[in-house]
Amino acid sequence: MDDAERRADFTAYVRAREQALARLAYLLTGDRDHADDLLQNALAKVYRNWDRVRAVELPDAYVRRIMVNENNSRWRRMLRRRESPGSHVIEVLDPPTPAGLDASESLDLWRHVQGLPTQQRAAIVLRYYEDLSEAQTADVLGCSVGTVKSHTSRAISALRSRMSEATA
Amino acid sequence: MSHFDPELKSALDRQSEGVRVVTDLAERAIARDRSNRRRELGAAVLGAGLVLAVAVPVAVGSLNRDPATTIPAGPTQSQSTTGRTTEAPPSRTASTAPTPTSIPTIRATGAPGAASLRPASGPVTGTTAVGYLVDGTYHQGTTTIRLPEELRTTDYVARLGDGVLVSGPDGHTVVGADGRKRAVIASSQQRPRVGDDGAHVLAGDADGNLVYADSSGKPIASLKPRSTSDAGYSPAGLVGTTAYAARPGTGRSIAWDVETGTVRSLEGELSLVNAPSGLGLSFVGGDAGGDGSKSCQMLVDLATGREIWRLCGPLQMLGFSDDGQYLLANGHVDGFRDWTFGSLVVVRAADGVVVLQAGGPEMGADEIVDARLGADQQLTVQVWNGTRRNLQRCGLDGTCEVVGASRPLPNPDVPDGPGPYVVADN
Repeated sequence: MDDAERRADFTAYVRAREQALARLAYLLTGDRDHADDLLQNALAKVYRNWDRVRAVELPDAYVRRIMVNENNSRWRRMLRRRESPGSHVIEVLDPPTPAGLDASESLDLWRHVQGLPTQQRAAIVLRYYEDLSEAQTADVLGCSVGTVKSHTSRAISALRSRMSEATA
Repeated sequence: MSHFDPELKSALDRQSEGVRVVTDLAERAIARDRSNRRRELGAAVLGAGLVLAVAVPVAVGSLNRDPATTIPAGPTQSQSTTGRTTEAPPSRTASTAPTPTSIPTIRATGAPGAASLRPASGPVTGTTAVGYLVDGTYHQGTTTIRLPEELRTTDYVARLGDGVLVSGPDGHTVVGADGRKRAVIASSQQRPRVGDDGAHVLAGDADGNLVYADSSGKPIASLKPRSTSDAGYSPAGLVGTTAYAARPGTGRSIAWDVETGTVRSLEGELSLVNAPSGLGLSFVGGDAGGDGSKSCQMLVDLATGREIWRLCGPLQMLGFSDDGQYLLANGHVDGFRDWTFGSLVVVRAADGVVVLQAGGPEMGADEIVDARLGADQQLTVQVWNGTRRNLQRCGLDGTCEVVGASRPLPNPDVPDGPGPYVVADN
């Protein structure tokens, strides 16, 4: 595959998956600037390794793993702490009114999700938003299924507790 | 699946629905990859230059001092806070510096270049007095503490009392000398700050509160954010019983006397404080997308509020040396157009001069990913070379010896991620 083909192939993949990847980046970070940065960094790494990614792995699984790991990287968090990209790659509009759930309750729940420790939040997003199994989540997080269970149960417990405190 | 699960799924779905890609993402990703490659190439050229620079003893490094810049020191305002606090009279910043002050602004330009750190290779030949974590065990001198299994992959450790404070899945967790969990101080991603006495800690929690706790993890005092919409506090550190924290996004910080509850409002967002020297560092302005020339940090005397200097350049300050005589900074900052400095830069606090820098010819080659500068003026650094890292002790003259054996990266998918060593924060 020459450079032009490689570029075209990568571009086709990104165009097909960009909305889903942008949403994942936003849920993992809870912040547009950080999501912008995370998305571009992750996809830059994917592009560099595109020949391998498309040949031997499911691109989505690889990209998810890169995004989660980048987001967990303390070094990366330090580096981007004071950044604000010049022009954004994503925009975040006010969410629509939900069906069956009070809007303020939904917003509260989202705020509490953002307050979770990074690994717990990642586990919650992968399990409840991406609908990954515990084994798939463990693969992305690079941990055991037991650890995924632990992250998830602690996160759910914390969210329940914070939501009941808020409504008490 | 409990009744809570659909609610959680719905909340996540709802938040994600408003997210849209608004530009050519593939093009931006390709451009970033190109930019990363350019940086690596640029760093290679810089690295070659640094090798030549080492041969010449350079006392004054890569800084140009501007003519003194007059920056008026305006009065600060006291603020009311919720919680157990009283409103303070105007801060010492205002009372002791009411008139315009001549403050040097220093430009970090990268030329002519400071002394260069020269990592060693080979087997372990020395030791370090600084604590560090490896393979889930904390080491400091003859002390070893085996962490509980769920905390062994932590990326933060600090000595606290006879045990350690580590970040874990539940939050900042106190582990005793026996390796058992004692308490969780706060659930937050913010970096906690252990006081100079090693017996107290300042942490921000997920609800925006600032928490002051003892070495057992027992909260002694807490400070609530000013309102529910407030971003809360970002801990900068402790000087005695005064806790310093930034109020993110406000351009201000607080000095909170944890014994009396008095809160003073200070100018600037403090990111670091150092107890022995009584110095603090505030971030003054950003320069995203630029060359870093407008990214400035301000060094202040915490007792008087006097600005000592402003340093502008492509550097991000990471911490003080233990005695406060130096600052450690990172020169590989994402968001700046070019990287002028290496991955570790040592700046002298007295005059803002760069005295040492480190960083290999490219990302991943002799890159410094973790550093502490002790009061003995010995650096303990984690050196990244290719797919492995080791721990080294280095002098400010740039000479190093290996104190921790070379080990593979714990997670090759995150080449710039933490580990296998974690250098203690205090």
